[in-house]
Amino acid sequence: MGGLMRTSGAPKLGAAVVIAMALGLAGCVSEAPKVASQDAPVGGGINVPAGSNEDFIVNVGRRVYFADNSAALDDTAKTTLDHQAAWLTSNTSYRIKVEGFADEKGTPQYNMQLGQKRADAVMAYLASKGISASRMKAKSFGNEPNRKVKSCDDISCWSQNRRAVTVLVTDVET
Amino acid sequence: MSLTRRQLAALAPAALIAVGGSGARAQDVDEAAYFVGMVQDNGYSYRKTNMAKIDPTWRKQLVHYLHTETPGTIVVDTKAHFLYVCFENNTALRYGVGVGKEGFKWYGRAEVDRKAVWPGWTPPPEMLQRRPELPRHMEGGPDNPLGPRAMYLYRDGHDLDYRLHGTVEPWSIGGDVSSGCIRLLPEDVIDLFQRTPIGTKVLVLEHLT
Repeated sequence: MGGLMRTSGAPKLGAAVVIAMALGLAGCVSEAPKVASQDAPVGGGINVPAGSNEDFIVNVGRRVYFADNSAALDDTAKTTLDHQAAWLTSNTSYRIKVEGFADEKGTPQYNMQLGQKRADAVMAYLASKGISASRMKAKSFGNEPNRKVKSCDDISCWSQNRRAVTVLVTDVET
Repeated sequence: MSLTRRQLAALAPAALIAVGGSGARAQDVDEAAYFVGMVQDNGYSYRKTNMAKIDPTWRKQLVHYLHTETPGTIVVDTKAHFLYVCFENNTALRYGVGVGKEGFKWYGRAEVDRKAVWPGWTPPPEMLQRRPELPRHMEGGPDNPLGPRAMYLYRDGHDLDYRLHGTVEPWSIGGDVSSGCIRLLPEDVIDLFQRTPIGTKVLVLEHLT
């Protein structure tokens, strides 16, 4: 995209050059839309500062997922939460907000309750791993339209929406 | 039934004939240098990857990535040897992968409908033909070439025989290899497994070779 814009905005070039560039771009688009060199790193790339928000996102993971109509933590969710607890134990300047969500099945009221149960389950588990309740808050967003990962009538969307997200909060921000 | 290390070592050279990419080639590899200690995981242990030996290109990192996928979708680029987990705002978590022969046999859209911890492995018929000494089935465990996790791709309820899995050969990340589908470092396949609920969409990009 950026390449295309730069090309069209470039000063006058020989026709052959323009054609060559256009061909090059066309090949790029049809074949490999994402070339490695276009993947500019976000933040530190592989040099993620330990104890940063990025470290939490990349090396721990903020999300746990739930089964249909359930607030039970499975082994996979517990593993992620074990990592979160360990990280929060060594990075004491952060507090967290656990956000609970539901998929689009069920009424808004029911989904709000389900999201709360999911967020509460995460908080209770983290507390059982030694994270002080005073550092944590849980909040449900149910299936609030503008908070959905994506809306569709299919498991690919439901599975992404049935989640709890652990958001880091610093004292400065509140 | 499981392979001994010796059998596995015999298997390794065949699995390592690089046909492109920049994955290390069998004859160059000082295998021991790729490992630093052991990690306990769900009743087994795997050899911890010495990240200093892995080219930074292939290490897990957050990148800018233009995409129109639902966040959480996995995109596999077999040509560039990358696997992306799409995040919001045109970013993605990118992992380096090794692509086996089976990894080039299919592309398109699919869904992760099955996940396994320390998966068993049934060598495909072509491979058994090439290497008849292989077992018909290998239980999951540290010597299993699939490594500590596997995610199985399905389309409309049918198993595509296309898998995202680990590897016991970290030097094969970033290259094309003769066996397997999409290989990730053991640490990375465990991390990916954590981020991938059943039902996750997968897009394997078209590869024109």
